[in-house]
This record gives sequence, structure tokens and C-alpha cells, in this order.
Amino acid sequence: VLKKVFAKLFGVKTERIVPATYHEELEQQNYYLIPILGPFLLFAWLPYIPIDKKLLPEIWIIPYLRLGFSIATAFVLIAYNFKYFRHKSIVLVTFIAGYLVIVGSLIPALANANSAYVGGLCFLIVGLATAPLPLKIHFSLLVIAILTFFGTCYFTNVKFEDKFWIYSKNDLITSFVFSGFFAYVLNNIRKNIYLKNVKIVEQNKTITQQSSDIEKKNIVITDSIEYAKNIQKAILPEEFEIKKHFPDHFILYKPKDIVSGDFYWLHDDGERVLLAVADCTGHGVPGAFMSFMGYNLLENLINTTHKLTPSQILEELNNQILKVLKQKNQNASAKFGMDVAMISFNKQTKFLEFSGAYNPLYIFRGNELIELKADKRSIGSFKREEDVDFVNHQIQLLTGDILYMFTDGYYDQIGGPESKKYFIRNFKELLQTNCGSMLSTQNEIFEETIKNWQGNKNQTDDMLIVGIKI
Amino acid sequence: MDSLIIEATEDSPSVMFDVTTNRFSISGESRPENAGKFYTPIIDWLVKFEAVLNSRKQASENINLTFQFKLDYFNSTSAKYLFDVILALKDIVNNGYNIAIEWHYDKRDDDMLEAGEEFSKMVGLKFLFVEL
Repeated sequence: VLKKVFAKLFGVKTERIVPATYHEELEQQNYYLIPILGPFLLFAWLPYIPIDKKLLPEIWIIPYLRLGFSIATAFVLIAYNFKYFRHKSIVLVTFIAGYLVIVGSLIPALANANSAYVGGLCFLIVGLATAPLPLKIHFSLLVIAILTFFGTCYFTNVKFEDKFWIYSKNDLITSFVFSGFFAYVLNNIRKNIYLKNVKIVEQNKTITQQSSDIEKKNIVITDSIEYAKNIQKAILPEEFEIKKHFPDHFILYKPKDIVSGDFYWLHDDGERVLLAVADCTGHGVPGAFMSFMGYNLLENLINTTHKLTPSQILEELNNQILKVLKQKNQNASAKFGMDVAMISFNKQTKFLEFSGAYNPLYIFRGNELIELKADKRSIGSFKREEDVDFVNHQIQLLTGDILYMFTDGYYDQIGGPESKKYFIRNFKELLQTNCGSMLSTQNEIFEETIKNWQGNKNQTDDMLIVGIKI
Repeated sequence: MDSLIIEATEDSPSVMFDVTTNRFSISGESRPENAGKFYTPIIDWLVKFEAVLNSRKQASENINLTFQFKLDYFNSTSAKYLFDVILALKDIVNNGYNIAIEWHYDKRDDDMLEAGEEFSKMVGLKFLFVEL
């Protein structure tokens, strides 16, 4: 409560609205001041009445003047509650101050400039300086006080015979000068605080506006990408299509952002099922662009040329991407491309062919890992003279074999106690440990494991693991 | 020629190409959203550096450069630009300067070692592999 009262008295900005002009600011300060100061002023002069009656019984009017101040204050406190005076607090305070000044000057003059009474006037004059009134009113009140006091003294023939008058006169002059100076300084302080508050409010407004702009932009961008996600979803093979050929399988697909640079692709040519797991350069939107291109090129080349082996597909895909992206410069490395693991699986004979551009194929036969290595050539890079064609691996699969195709996003995830990558050797171990479990269980374990590893870190890259049990 | 110093950020490595000591390094994690924007100035700097070296050829015999790769992670786009950095180093070597290229890797990170070996093979430069 004290803090609030203080804030209101000195115009420090708490949560109140900062007015548009300084005059309105003063209006507001007076509005807060009246209910705080009013009840006190109501009784301020009453204790002096018996003293006046005792000291100056012959000047009967003084107690009435004192009482008049209480009545004036009461009037202001009542008026304060009327709507008409809602924005006239300066007028109300000026009215009280005016009464104080006029009557407060009148009484010591009537009291024959008695030094005790003049002292009271000094106190009043100085106190007046603290009122949050416009400077013009302050100075006017000071002039009125001087005129009233000396005017009354003149008309009532005050002789200034009190031997203490010399002292009181000094006090009075000092009070007037000091009051004017004090009012001026306080007014400046008030004005500065007000201007500072205005600045703060303006800055806050700008910040709020900016952050809401950013938020709006963010929503628009996110919405747009969310929508694009639906398109990307459409190019990924449907769950039932994969299930048709590989009833026991799982796919762990975790884009870093909403859309992904990782994708998988499935094609059934009657005799064989082709399945690719690809990791395009970049993630998010640029990654997704590349994934569309990869998907399209794969679809096209498979429909125009039949019975290609996985290595032939990769070779052709490489040529096509170089052509589309016009990456013909031999000297600089190509900046767009994809790493692909591609298998063809003969549905009848379970004969498997594999070719890999950086992405290998792991086959678990029981606990034994058969690792079909990928070529160290990315799709989309210029083929140099020393480069050989993609190797076409061949293997006869047995029932119960488990195939894993994956991108580097899983084992490159940064996390753990040292903020390190998960590392491919830990990933291999994870596969080894869990290859005996049901594939659906494996999927859960893999998700849980990487989530724990990641902790509160950001996802490093898109993740994709495809597991298939023959 | 001024040294090239780039502070590491959350998604880009720190770059210290100190021409006073001739010790160069790229260290940290590299996965900038726009890898081209990050690496092009670095490659341009190396090309310019080579030109400066060539312009004071007579002293060249005594210049020994050390280039350290101390990367914890780089994404596939960064890999393509790192390849360009190494090509720029190859150019400098072809001009008769000595560069000791160090490839630092975590001993658990088989992938990082393999990537270094692959770069070394592709460009035809000898790397010194430093296991951490």
C-alpha cells in the first residue's frame, strides 16, 4: 500500500496509464492526491481554533476562517465524487490551495503580524510548493499570498511593532523565494519522470508491435510449411503398400523441422520390390525440395527403363540430378545431392540386390551383422575419372533376416553428458542388442533411446530408420 | 593480409586463420542453415591468401603452414564446402608450399575418421589423423 501511495504521490509509473500530455499527467496526480490528502486537511486547522480563542479572543473572525477551510475541503471531497469534476482535479486542488493561501495570509495580517502567526504562514507557503499544480498556478498563489498579507496589513494599519518582526520578515522572504524555487525544481523533476514514462511506454509499444509482427510472420511461415508437409506426406509410400510386401517392418521418421530432407521410396515392378532410403542435403524446406526432386526422378527413370539394378538406378539418378541442377563444374564440388541406400528384393526367391551412395545396408542374420558397404560417392556429385560405377551387392536372404536402412540423422544426434554425437558404433551396438526383439518394440526402443540422448538439445538432423524382417 | 577469425555460433564452427603464426583451424559443429553464405568468404580468403603467398615467392621455402580440422559434427552440405576448402589447400600445396593438415576426431567417431580419410583420398593430400 505504501509503495502504491508513494507511486501515486510522486508520479512514478506503476501500472497506471501514462497520459498524453503533461497537463493531463498533473491532472491525474491531483486526482490521486485528493483522497489521500483531503481527509487530513479536513481536520488540519481545527486544533488551532481553541488556541486562536485563547490568544486573540478579540479577533472573533479567525476561528470561522479556520472552520471555513474544513468546509472548503469537505466541499472538494464531495465534489470529487461527482462526474462533473472527474477531470477537474487541478481546479479542486487549486481551490483548496487558494483558500489556504488567501486565508492563511489574512490571519497573520489580522493577528497584527504576530511572529508566531507569520511563522505559520511561512510553513504554509513552503508546503504549498509540493502540490502537483502547474507552475503558473504556483506563482500566482505566491503573488496572491504576498498581496493579501501586505494589503491586509496596510488596510488594518499594522505597525509591525513586534520586536520579532525583523526575524519573521526574513523568514517570510526566505519562504517565498524558497517556495518558488522549490516548486520550480519539483515541477522539473515531475516533468522528467513523466517524459521518461512516455518514452518507456512508446518503447514498450514498439517492442509489443515488433514481437506481434514476428509472431504473425512465424504463424504464416509455419502454416505454410505445415501445409507443404501434407504434400510431402503424399509422396511417401502408404503404410499398407509397405505392409503388403513387408508385413513385419517399422519406419522411424523424424523430421528436424516440419518437412524433411529424408525420404523413403517404394516401387513394385511385379517381380521385385524396390525400396530406397534417401538423405538429401539440407533439412527443412531446401531438404524437402530436394526430396521431391529425388522422388520424381526415381519415379520417372523406373517407368521409362525396366529392370534396372539398384546400382544402375543410382548411376542414372546421379546423371539426372547433375542435369537438373546443372552441376557441371568439375573443379568445385556440387553443393546439392543425396545419399541413398537402394535395395531390390525378389518376392519369390528372396534374392536381394543393394547399392549405396554413402548409405550402407545392415542385415542381421540371428546375431550376426552382415554389413553391405556403401560407395563413397554421393548422388549429385560429378563423376571423376577414378570413380567406378556404384557397386551392385547381391545376397540371398533367409526368412528371419532383418534389414536396416537408415540416414545419418540418428547417430549424428548431438546429446548425452558430453554433448557429443551418438556415434555410429553405438548405433550398431543398439541394433545388435535389440535385433532379437519384435520390430515394433525395436521402434519404441530406438525412439526412446534417441530422445533420452537428445535431452533438451535441438534435433541435429532429420532422422529415418527403416527396419524390415523377411 | 589480415588473419581471418570467425567466432563459433550454435550452428557454425570457429575459424582461426592466423597469418602471424601460420596456424589455421576450423573447429566445432558445422550445420549452418545457409552453408554457402558461411563458407564462401572462407574459401575466398584462402584463394586470396594463396595469391599473397605467390606475390612474395622468394621467401616461400621457409613457410610452413598448419591446418587443423577439429570438427565434432558437420552436415552433408557443409561436407561439400569443406571439400572446397581442402581443394583450396591443394592449390596452395601445388604451388610449392608446405601444409601440415591435421584431422582431429573423437576416438569413438568412426564416421569422422572415415570422412577425413575420404577427403584425403579424393583430393590426394596426406592428412595427419589425430585421435582425441
